[in-house]
Amino acid sequence: MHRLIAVSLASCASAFALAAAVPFIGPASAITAASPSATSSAQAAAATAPNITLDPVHSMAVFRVQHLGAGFFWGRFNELGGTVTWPLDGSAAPVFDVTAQVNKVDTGSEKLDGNLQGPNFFNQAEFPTIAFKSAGATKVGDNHWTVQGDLTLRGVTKTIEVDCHMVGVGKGPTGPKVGFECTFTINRADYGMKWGIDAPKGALGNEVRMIIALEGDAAKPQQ
Amino acid sequence: MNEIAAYILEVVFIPALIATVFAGLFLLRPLRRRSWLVEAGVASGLALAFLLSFVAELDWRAVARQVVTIEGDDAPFERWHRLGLSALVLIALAWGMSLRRRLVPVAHGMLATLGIAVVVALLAGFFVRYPGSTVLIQCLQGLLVFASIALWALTNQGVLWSAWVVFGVLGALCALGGFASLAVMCGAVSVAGFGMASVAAVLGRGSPRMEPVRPHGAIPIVLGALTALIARCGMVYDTAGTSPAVWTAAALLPAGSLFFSRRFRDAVRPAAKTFWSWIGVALLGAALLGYVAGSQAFKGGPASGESDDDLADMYGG
Repeated sequence: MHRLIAVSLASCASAFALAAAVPFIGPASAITAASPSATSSAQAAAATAPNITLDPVHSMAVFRVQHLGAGFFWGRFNELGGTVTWPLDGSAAPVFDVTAQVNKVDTGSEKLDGNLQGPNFFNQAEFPTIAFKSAGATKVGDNHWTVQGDLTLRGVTKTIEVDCHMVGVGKGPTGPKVGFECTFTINRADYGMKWGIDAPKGALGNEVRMIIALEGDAAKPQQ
Repeated sequence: MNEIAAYILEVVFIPALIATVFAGLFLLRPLRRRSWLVEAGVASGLALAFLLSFVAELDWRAVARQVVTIEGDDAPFERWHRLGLSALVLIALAWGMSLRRRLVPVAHGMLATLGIAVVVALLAGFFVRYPGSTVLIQCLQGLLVFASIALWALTNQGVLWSAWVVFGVLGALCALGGFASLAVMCGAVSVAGFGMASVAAVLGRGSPRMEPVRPHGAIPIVLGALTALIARCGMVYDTAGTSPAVWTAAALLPAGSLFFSRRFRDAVRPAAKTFWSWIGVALLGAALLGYVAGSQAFKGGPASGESDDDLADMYGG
């Protein structure tokens, strides 16, 4: 009798396993946050400047975090997407709208990539996208700005400052190519990513330094 | 003490110890004769081990955030945190069920328990939604909870030793799947199961009148709901490519207690009965872990230079 119950329950459960095997589609919750009002200069630039569509092959975000209080461990997010709005004559500050996919994290170790995508870190199943939208910028030098904007990571949106350089304008087969390099530092605990800071104590540092390399194809502004 | 040992102590052994001491109070001779107290103490103790580990690993706000808005709290709402709330609800349910049995004995107690199992399965299907959930998946999740409860109810007096094995297997699968937090929570329940089984065995030794702990009332409800919801959570958040069938099998591991049911019936000594109702679960658990380890090795295993030490993985490399 017990065997009969168990077999029938196991049959029901195997149906569950089959259904669950259907690939899970990540939550469609868009994580892009509504950015605060942009500064007038950024808005003016956006109105007249060409959209630079990021080239995912040549755009990436590199991050570093201290491991066990010792060396810096580096990883990167491949294939960044989004746009930068910036006049090629440099008359206005760039406006960034950049996204990274958590499943594109790459540390050189598949196992570690899996750990980083898991709930202890980026929680790819619930928060598949990291987004940055700039809201304003302050010019600090030639082709050099401090950009203010909203970083959304693990569903938490916080305003940060990013140091950005326009590093070059080159010629591509389909038109001009523009490159930027941006750097900023965040405390990952601010985004609910606390594992390894206090428990286990000091496994991974709180402070994460990011270097973002962006390259995109400039298009003429649409009339 | 090194940091990782301190961490394991804090999130696995201390919660397990507290839960074992708590449940152990109800396993003492005078109280053990009251089966409703034993059921409530053991069932709530197992859920308490999970909850304490959850709180040690995250914090109380991760539970509270599920039901109320906390002022000044800007941490993200994460769906898997519902497991902490589930453990809290299961503790209350364990006492509610046992008190009901004490205060209002019903003629068909088993039918009442079955009805509660159905309600728990429905609630688990309705309220515990992981990413990617659909109506079908939620229905199947409820079915898995019910199936797991039913199988736990068949584990006889090997129930606590089986809890040690089943949650140990779930913890290992979570660690392999890159989910260190859930792995340590499973570890806490596993160690608590071992602790309670040991206490029950020691206190019951040489006392033929002492009833062994059996999976009656709240015990299979709590164990079944926790097992199935943890297995589903591990399945959804798994980043190692472990098959959903493996996670489902982990939720149904208590079925192993049926393997040696004839030997169990034929056994005379209580210790032998406990052994034969547990060994099948242990063998099934070992087979499942062996299959997972084998399939990972077949896929190529850790690349050259990578650590295959799960504790090292917890440290991020």
